[in-house]
Amino acid sequence: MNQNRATHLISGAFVVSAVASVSLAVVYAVGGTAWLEGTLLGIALAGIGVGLILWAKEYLPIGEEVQQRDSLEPEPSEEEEAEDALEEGIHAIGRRSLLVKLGAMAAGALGVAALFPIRSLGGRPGTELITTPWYDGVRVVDEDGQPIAADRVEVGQVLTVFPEGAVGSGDAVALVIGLPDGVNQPLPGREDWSVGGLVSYSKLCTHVGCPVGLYEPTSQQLFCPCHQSVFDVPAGANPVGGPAARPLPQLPIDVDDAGYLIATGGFSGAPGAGFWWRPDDD
Amino acid sequence: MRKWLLLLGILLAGCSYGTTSAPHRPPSDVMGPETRGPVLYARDCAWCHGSNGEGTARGPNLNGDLDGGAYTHFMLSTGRMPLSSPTARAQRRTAVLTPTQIDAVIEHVKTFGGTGPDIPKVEPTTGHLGTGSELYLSNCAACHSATGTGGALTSRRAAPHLTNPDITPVQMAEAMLVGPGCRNNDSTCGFGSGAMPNFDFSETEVNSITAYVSYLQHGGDHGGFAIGRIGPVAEGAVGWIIGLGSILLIGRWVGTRMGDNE
Amino acid sequence: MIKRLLVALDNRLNAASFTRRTLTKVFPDHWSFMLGEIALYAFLMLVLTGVFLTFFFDASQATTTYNGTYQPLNGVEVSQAFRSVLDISFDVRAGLVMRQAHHWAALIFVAAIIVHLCRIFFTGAFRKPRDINWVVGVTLLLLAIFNGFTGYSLPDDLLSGIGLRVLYSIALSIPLVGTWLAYLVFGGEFPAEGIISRLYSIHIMIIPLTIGAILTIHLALVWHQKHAQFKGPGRTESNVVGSRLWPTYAVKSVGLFFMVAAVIMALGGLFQINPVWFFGPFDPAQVTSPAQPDWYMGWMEGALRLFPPWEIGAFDHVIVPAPFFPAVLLPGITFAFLYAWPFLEAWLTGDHDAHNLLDRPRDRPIRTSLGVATLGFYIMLLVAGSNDLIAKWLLVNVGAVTNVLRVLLFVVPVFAGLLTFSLLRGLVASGARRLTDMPASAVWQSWKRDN
Repeated sequence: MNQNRATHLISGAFVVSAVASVSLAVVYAVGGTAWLEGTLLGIALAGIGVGLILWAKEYLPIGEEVQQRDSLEPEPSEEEEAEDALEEGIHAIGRRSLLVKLGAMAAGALGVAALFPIRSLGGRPGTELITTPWYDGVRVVDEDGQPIAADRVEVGQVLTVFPEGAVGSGDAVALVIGLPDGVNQPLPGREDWSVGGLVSYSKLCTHVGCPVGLYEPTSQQLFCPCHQSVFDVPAGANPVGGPAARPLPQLPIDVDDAGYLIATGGFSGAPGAGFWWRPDDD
Repeated sequence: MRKWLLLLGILLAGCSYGTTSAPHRPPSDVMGPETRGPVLYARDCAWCHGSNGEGTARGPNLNGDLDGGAYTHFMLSTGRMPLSSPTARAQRRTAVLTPTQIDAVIEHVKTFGGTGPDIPKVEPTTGHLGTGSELYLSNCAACHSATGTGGALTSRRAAPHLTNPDITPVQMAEAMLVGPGCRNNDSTCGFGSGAMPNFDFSETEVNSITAYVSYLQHGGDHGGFAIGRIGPVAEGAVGWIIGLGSILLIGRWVGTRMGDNE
Repeated sequence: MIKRLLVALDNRLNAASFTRRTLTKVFPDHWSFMLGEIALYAFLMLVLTGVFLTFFFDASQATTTYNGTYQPLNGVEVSQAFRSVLDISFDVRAGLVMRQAHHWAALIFVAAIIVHLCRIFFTGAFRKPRDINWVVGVTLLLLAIFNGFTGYSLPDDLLSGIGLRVLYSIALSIPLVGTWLAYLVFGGEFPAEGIISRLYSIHIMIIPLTIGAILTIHLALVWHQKHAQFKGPGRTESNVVGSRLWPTYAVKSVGLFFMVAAVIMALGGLFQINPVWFFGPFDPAQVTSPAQPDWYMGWMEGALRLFPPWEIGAFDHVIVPAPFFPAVLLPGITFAFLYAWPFLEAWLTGDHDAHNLLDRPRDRPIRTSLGVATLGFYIMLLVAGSNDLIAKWLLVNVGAVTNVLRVLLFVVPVFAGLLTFSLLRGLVASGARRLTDMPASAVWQSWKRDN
């Protein structure tokens, strides 16, 4: 590149940068807009960058400098000396072997003791992984905590529900789905778990626990938007596609004397993702 | 001047009819609106829905619990109906029929005695955006996406994106009422068996949801180009191609010298 | 002035010899040797923008009613964390640019590490004596991915909350220790209180400090061992040919930093990233679609989507849930192989010598082909992470897309590897300088000669 032209370009870049910085200050003072701030910051930074790079490329020595590499392998004599120094120390300490052993024991015990605060980070994983706030007789409520009249959920509708008193619970969240007459094929022993055309299943995918939020009345399937598992609702929410291996746990429901939906027990299995001691009860 | 306006009017009328690809269209001045409905229905709808809305193997009935005005209005005003052929996929497009024609067809379909919901009255301006966003995220985002871009469903279907400003609040409310998306060859399609569930929202809730969806249509992108609002997939592509890509080009420029051919 | 300062320091530290050796240190010139620097500068930008964000972010999960500039969420119950992110985006001046630039810098940071790693791999720069630095570098990649994920989760929005639930479930899926691990990390059954503040400590203190320390080791090793160089006239195993650190290399490198910063800040202003105001606050009952993690977790996401519904059950218990294989075992094997590769290759080829001259990818067709095949595998996993979007765009069944990708996951790497191998043989046989200069027939002839 022509030397004169390079100088002009470099000075131009620096000047553009300075102008952008001043404009940035003005934009900021006036109130700021994200895209303007980003653009001006970009120009201000790029101006300095272009200037420096051009400067280096045009005026600074780029060359065939040659430097020798030092050997990365030690001389045998040095190696020996280092070994000797190390062994001398080991020998000096090792002379009191009982003290060494006791010292090691004390350090080890301290190490184990130091692990205990980690235990404070979380409680013992217990039955709450399997149990939920659902129980026999609890009312089914919607996200606002309102009880649900049995005729509120019509065919083709889906409602996110919780047990009364536990709205927003992370493991009790369930769906009540209105199936057309005669479509439901209850699993053996679950013939009285539905009421009218209404069935209820855990909303948490048995794969990795995403809410199975998509219900298609056409196919009566639930679909998980995270990893595309598909559950066939009339067939006990059995997985028919995607990576989920277990059906959604079912919630037995009924109607109380006031005409509101209640649960008649807990889920048929632990909701959400599996873990190694999860009972295989589905 | 009035002559010109008249001419313009005729031209415009001609254009609007010109866009429909219907054969044997009766001239508009000899048919009153009361008779236009049955004619349009017979021409565009009866082949699949039956001459009295009783339904056939090609399409659902319109005299049952599915339709009461809202369903027909939704299908016709979003251009999903009439289909160009009975096997075509019902997708949103520019409405084939004009608003007057749509009204005439609805009036005729109502005579079949369907008991479904009627066209709702919607006033998004009275809705509350905060309530709307909460309801939208609880009930709509799973399929239509929190950003309104829509998403995949099972079996070759997709929940349509809602960010198209042509989607009117009335159409949104109708979709919530009837739950559209039956397979178009499904004669058993009735109320509650579309791809979309139907929802029991109160009038104020509907106003709030439609207010929020209108907001999604017209604004909300505060951080620059929205890159499709589909989240990390587009962001990753931009990060790699535009971000790292341009840095790599700069790096090549920094690293090359005059007369350097490596 | 600078000279006086140097003299003053020298009088106290005897630093003259060190200074001279530093300033005259020679770096070989090649544009691909700057890839690591790009990652370094992206990290620097992460620290700079991140420090700004810490002044405004609140890691509390206590709920509050949002009442700020962003109208559509007015009156909505949100956590303090989510509220503070909305404030950064709408009420802190230049806050949105900084937040978006921080996120873009994170995406570019990991991407630059990957490209840097590819350069090291395909040129054989990981061989002895630099095998030790390869191990350090792989650790940095691991930490970068971890820190990206922790940062992504901080806003406590719906999308990242789903990501946390997935991570919790993955931890849960490990046999024997999974439930304990999940409880220790999350503080109890999901969604336990306080996970955001834990992630915050990890994100702004524990991992960045570790990255800083290991990065120092990484650079010190490059410094001490001196940079490897390509073969060429006058270049031997025992010398380095290139430009001096001062002034040429230093000025270029500072210039590059400004350019990396410019791209990141411009992206931060011009391209919207992670618009949490659309996603709303996290609610365990809600979900949005499409739901993907940031790209550097995308390969794991793809593996989760493609892996068939296989679980190992015994004694009426689940024992090994399905996510364990794609989300624990696969990443474990991936990083085990990454760590082991220099030693594995030395063992396989019997080449235990130290190397300061780099290979050209064509010189080692088997290694290069294996590398391309491996990249193909992980790129296919990344693509599989978008299977729902592909199904939506093509209007085909998601299940069909998944099945096709399950096949392509193995077909593409094999095909890519074989194609690379053939092209490289043709390239060597024809003696062409570049792939584009090579006559197509060379590939065919190189195979024919063998038979």
